[in-house]
Amino acid sequence: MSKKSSVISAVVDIGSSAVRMLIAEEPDIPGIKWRPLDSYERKVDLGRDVFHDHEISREGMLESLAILTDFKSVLKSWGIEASEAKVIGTSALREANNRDVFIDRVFLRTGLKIRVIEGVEANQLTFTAVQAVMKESWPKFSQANSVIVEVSGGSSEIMLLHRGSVVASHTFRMGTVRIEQQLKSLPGSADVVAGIIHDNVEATLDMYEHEYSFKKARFMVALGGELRILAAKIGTKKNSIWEIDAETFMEFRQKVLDSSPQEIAADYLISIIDAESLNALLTVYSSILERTVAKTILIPDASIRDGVLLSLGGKGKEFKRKFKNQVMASAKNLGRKYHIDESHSDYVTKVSKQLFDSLKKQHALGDKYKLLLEVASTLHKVGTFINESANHKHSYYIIRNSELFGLSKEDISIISHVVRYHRKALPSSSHTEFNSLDWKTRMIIMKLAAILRVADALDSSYTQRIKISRIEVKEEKIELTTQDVMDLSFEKISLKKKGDLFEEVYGMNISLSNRSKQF
Amino acid sequence: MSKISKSKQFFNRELSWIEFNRRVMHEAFRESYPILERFKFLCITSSNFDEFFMVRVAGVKRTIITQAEYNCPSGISAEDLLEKISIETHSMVEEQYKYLSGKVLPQLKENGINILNLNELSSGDIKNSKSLFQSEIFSVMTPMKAVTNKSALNFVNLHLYAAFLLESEQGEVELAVVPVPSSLGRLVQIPGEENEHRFVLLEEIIKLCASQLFPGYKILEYASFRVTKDMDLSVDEDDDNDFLRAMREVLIHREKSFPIRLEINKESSEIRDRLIELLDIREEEVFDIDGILDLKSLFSLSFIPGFQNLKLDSWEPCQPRDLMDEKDIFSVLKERDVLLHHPYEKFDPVIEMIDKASTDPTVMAIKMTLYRTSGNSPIVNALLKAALNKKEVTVLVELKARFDEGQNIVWAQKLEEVGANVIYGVADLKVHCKFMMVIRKEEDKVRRYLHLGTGNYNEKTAEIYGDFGLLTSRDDMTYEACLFFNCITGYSTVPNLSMLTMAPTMLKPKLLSMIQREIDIAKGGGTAEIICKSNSIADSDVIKALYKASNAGVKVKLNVRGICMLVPGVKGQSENIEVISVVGRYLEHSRIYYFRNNGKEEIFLASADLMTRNLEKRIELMFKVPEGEHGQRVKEVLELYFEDTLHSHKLNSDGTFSRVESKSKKLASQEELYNDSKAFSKNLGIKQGELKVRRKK
Repeated sequence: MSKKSSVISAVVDIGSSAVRMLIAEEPDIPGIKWRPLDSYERKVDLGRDVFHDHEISREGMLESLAILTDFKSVLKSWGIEASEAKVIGTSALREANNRDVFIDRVFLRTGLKIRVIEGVEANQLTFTAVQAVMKESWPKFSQANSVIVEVSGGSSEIMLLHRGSVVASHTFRMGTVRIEQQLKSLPGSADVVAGIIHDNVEATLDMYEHEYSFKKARFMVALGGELRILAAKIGTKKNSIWEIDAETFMEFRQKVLDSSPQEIAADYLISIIDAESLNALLTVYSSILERTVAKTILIPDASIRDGVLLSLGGKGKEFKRKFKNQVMASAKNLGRKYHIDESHSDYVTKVSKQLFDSLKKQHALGDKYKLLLEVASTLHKVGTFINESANHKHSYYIIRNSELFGLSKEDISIISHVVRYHRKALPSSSHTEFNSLDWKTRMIIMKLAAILRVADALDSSYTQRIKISRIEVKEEKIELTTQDVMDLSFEKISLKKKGDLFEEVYGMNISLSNRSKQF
Repeated sequence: MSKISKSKQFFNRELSWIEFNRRVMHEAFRESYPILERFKFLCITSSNFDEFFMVRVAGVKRTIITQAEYNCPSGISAEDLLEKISIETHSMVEEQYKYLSGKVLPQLKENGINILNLNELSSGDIKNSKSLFQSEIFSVMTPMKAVTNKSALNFVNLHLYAAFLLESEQGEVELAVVPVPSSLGRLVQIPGEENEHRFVLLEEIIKLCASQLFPGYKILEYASFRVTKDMDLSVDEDDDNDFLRAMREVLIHREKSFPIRLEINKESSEIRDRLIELLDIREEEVFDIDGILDLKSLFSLSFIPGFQNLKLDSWEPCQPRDLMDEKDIFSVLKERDVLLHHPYEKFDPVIEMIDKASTDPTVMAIKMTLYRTSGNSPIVNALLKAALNKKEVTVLVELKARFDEGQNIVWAQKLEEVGANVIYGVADLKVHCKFMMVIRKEEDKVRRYLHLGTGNYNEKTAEIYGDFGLLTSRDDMTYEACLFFNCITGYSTVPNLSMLTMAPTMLKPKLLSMIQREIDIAKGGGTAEIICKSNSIADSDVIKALYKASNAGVKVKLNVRGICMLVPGVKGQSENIEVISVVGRYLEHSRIYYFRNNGKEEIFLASADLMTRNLEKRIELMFKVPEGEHGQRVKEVLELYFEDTLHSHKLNSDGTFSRVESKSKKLASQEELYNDSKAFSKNLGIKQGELKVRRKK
């Protein structure tokens, strides 16, 4: 049979209240994306341990091991090796002090390799999943301003979209498990405590208002298993997406406030446990809903596991392109927040990319680093918002402490260091942050920073007057050519000044010349 | 509704069941039936009583012994109930035996099937019988002398015993008991004329030759008897570290439980008295049988070869109408659903599907539940083969399926030995749903093939139980089915399902909400109607909801084969509710629930009856029959029963049943269904006017 058969993959997600597994296939049918074959969910309260004691308890560890051992046998039945399964750990695992021990024990017992993912990366995966589902039923979504919210056990994720692109994404440590724990530990009546939590959520949202006006959001997309259960009770389903209209939702919210969990459980035929966590859940969702102009809450059947799948396999290309656009959109949004000179930053980005491509053989870095370089080029001047003087250090600080959609902590560390070294001093043994990185990462930073310095030097006039028409890479030098006849002495001086790192890293001189065609 | 007394609101379930068995017995009285069929119904009546006593009556008695509370919504106390049961069952058994000896046995004799008494034997017969005893029977007999209270406890439940009152040479009188060997047939054939079948009961031969069993003793009196014991023991589910072992212990323990019924033939009052004392049994628990004990063991006589004129025409199951073209079942299911209606239609496609799957290289996994299956089950064999062929076989075996436990343990272990993943049920819940899935990795994608039904995976009962099965490869339904199976096998939590409804979590709420929906529709002036077909209705919440519906003007039609605790036709409670019960040659077993829903009709099939135990203590599945052809077909079947004027009984508000009759129209629903299936299968191959013509190419 020459025809290739479908690919079956598995994603395991170790969350704060459950371990879940999705088995899906990418059928050999054009245009058809991942199709779920089977899905599993087993409750285990890692969150309760971690958010309280900062450690996974022995029981939690044993329970998780038992579940993952079961899952391994399921994997086998689908013909999937443990090593092939994508296993991710989210908030509970991320915060557990003994996470390395946990990861190691799981690996030794089951062969499953857990990758702990950061909040922002988790958001990006979820966003991908949401986008794929919404595309079919709500084509307008891809162009609209909207908010995506997921309240889970350990944290709440919020993504803010401008014309379909994520411009900001945040993870705030406010999840149902955590809120419940606070409810129990805080003195005072339930009402008072609920009030405190409400204020807390509001304060967090107020902060986000600075970078995104919730009033513009026409869609509100909400995720999470609990909400799907709720939607089945008070919502309607259209084309695989649940909808709850805003009014019904707020009425229900009031009802939950006025009733006991037991009453809610009986009236809506849900479990007491689900009913108990409703209050916390609804506080977050309703606070957001009230700020938007959305008339309905849309609840698609999309999860982080779908997102992981979409980033896999042959159909991952489209994912990568979209992902890149998303990352850049969020970088630009951050830049705007700090009033950067967009023309300069666009120019530097463009030239950086040109240089990166021409030097592929020399730096041997993959596309992912090209994206990091692009982000660094876009944001290298954000520090001028604080002060022109030592702006590279301010940029470093700002980027370091920002959330950039789709990028992990490690990625952001690389970007901030590249920016840190885009001018002035070169990396030195006295720079402790830089030196705490591993050798490989330091090399990547130097290779990228070297390019950024050159690109920045070429626009030292801030007029974008030099259009590079040709880049010629030779054994010991790199020749940049521009076709416009003009005086290049200013750029040549700054090149000489800022090309130092380049020469050091790539072992090449840089020359810039203008050669008109007529000659 | 509070003005209506409790006893007018609910019938007691045990008394309602007795009414059901009375309907079964009355089938034997039908003059229009051939005599062997009538004999068969008498055997079934006895067999039904056996289970009723050891489970239900024992349960009532146990509540008295343990002084537990007896909660019957009809308000009857356990003591009163036990007394009523005794009166009703005694009078029924009397009627049954009167009919057996007065009508059925003489007619059988006239037709050449003769069960003889010892005094009817010729000297030649006696000689033959004695030599048979010597050669075959004597060696397997183990007489038990000097029976004590303690050894009486060891009487095996429902086993037939021969009892002898012996006198020793010293003049001492004692009781001896001999189990009638069950390894030998109960009916011993002795030579007769051509076209004549002559039989002697095995215990009669033992009686004839008893002196050989007790040399040196004089036999004073003889009687045969049977003891029924409490068999409704449950496993201690908390101690389920080794559930198999716990289950085996129950099986052993059962043999020592308290007696609930003594059946003894009217030959010796002395033996009767002694047994009563030994067993410590009350007078009203004794049944003096005027004739042959244990009719269940004579059931096979109704299948005696030949004698076609004494039997009903045999109805061979037909080729299912959805599978007329001889295509591979998987290719058919790729294109469309298949609805099967057994036993009118063959059960073979289901077995074939598993059998094919066991060797099919594209098959990855087979998942199924097994509740009651037959002895040498072709399904179990196919699963064994599949596991040997390295298919991923996961089977959920319900060991708690009453009285099949012993058998189930054996083949479940066999499956485990060849690498199948066997799950021994779910703690506290009996897994009663009928579920089978085959997963194939086909060229373009993975496909799941699902069978859901109302009846067990048992090819033998599939020939006599009326059941529906649906086969589908629909993605949405099969995906949910996967989630459901993951849950019941312990791999996942209870899922949120929309295509399927699962008990004990959502089935009852869903039924109640659909009843409420009809009520709302009726109140709003829309068209509301509920039609249900179920083996039993015994859940008081459902019954109350149906009363509410009746009061709101919803038309409610119920077809309940067995227990019905709902009281129809009571003003201000249930005047819009009609209850019928159909008893025919096939056991009505399908569960169908229909809701008019103001014209947007919904019709469901389920494994669950409307009983609290099904809705709250079991894992069950209900699924919607897809609209269109199949929905229509199931609805037509559902409605057909209410047209029946030959085998249908109407429940009156006093708890009695009257036969539904019509002078102008004679309609037997089961016959109608059979003829319909036959008509379809006769048109085999010639569908919609296109003939298969062979032509030279």
